[in-house]
Amino acid sequence: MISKTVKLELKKAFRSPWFFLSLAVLLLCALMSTVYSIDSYQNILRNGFPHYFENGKMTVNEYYATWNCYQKWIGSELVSLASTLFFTLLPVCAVLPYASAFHQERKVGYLRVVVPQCGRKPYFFAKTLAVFLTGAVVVVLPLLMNFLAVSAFVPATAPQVNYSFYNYVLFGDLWADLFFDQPLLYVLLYILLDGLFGGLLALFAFALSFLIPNRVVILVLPLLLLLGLDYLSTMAAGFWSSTPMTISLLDLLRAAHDATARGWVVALEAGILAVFSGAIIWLRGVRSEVY
Amino acid sequence: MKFIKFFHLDFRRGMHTVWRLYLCGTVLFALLCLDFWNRSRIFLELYPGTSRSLGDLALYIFGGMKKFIPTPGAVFPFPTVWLLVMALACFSSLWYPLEDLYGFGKTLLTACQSRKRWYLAKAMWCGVTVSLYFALGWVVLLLGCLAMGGKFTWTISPYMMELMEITDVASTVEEWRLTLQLTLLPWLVAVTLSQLQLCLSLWMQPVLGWVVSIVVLLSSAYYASPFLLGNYAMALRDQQVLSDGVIWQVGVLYCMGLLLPCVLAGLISFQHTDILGKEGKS
Repeated sequence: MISKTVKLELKKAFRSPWFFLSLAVLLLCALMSTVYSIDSYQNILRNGFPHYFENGKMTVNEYYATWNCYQKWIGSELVSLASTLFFTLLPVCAVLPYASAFHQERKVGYLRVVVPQCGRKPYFFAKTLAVFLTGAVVVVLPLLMNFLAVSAFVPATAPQVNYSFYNYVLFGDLWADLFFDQPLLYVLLYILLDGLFGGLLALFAFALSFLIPNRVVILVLPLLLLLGLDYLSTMAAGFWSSTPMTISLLDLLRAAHDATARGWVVALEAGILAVFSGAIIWLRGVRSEVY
Repeated sequence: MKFIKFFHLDFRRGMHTVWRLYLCGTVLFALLCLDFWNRSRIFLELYPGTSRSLGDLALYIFGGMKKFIPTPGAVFPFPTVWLLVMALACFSSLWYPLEDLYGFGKTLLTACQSRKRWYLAKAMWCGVTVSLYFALGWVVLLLGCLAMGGKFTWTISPYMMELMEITDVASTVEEWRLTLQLTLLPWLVAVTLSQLQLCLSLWMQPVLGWVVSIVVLLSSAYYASPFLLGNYAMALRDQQVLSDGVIWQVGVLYCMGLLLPCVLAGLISFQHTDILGKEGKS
């Protein structure tokens, strides 16, 4: 029964028009960032520093280590509007596909039909899995597309630690060692991390639907909370100016930051989101009566 | 049923849904006052003889950000304070009109048989809700200014140049007259965006309308262009501050020019909306 319920929920989730819409929005941002990165690299080749080239080929370049796909993909590129829009809209696009489906199903009475047939535990397990996966996939696919497209045009030269002023991976940052030793692994880990947070934010909105009766508030609240956290992060920096650490998820989800991104902060925030969502779904969903 | 009765009913029922958001807004403005007090402390020591003013506090909140020039190695400074204030203002009027339509409003529409009055009452409610949010914010700012011993003047102190990290200016800080840019324009832009959201919510999800507002605001922060509405809600983008900045009178006209067609488009669209068919898709 559980596999049948999971299959049904996944089918509903991945065929929802909101899934395609969210994916399209984030893909568009990723595409815009791709165009920006490739264009800025081509611009350097076309117009910049002619003394680096000989017969159209680059022979010498002290900035070579800063012009690589590991710094030009959307996660590490901090200049374009597209990359800002991508990470600002990520919380909305992650929750839009399926996080509020439970709210709708409860409202229209579908829950009272399906739960007696498949059981509460299988239903909530399947729903949780579908919500998490839609949130994760909608984030991971555009990031992967962007990285693949950028790496097709911008060379994969190894980043160097003495250029941290340009690559914004600072000492003490999450996986900073990997960035200089295994940059591809670093990028892949960040794509997975963003996917994980996409899923967790979707689960957070799913958990909110047990507490908040309004669908619009459920969908918007994750982004508003993230904006609030971002403000608290800058406010804390104002009080303790010696602490160059960010707690903002809007920063932490990026692979490059102008403030230190500690691994334990990322783990703590992921833990809070997971525990809060899990506890609410378990207590208010699995262990409560649907009637 | 008269229009005023419609609006009165909306006001009572709508306020019941947004009071929590007003509470959040009050806390946010209070935090902003505290933050400004803390950030300005060091500058007051650097500039002896100067003191905080209401204009300084307002500029910190509604100033927005200086013009961003994208260069390799630059980082787009996310305008958190300004975006949070404006996003919350747009959010305040987001869900009540549609929520009403799928509930009590449907009965009301059937009883009075006037879609026009129903929609106009909602449009007015959106405007009033956003206005009350800003009014509440200003009350908190006045109290904050009083608490930190600031002067109740609109003059901008020279230390604000450093606090807001402004380098190239069109005129000296002593010449800036930004009263309307700090009071009228942010409110007017938020009201216009709320009308746009209301109009869009008839065709798509209210959440998507809010996303459109966020995109407009962020794009405005990125590009200092007179075509992007959000620029008029940032006092730092005014032509007195930025040499190729925006003109506030144009901003007022732009808002009016967008607000009225939005209300009209929403009104015409609502006359032809199948409200029973729409409910299931929400």
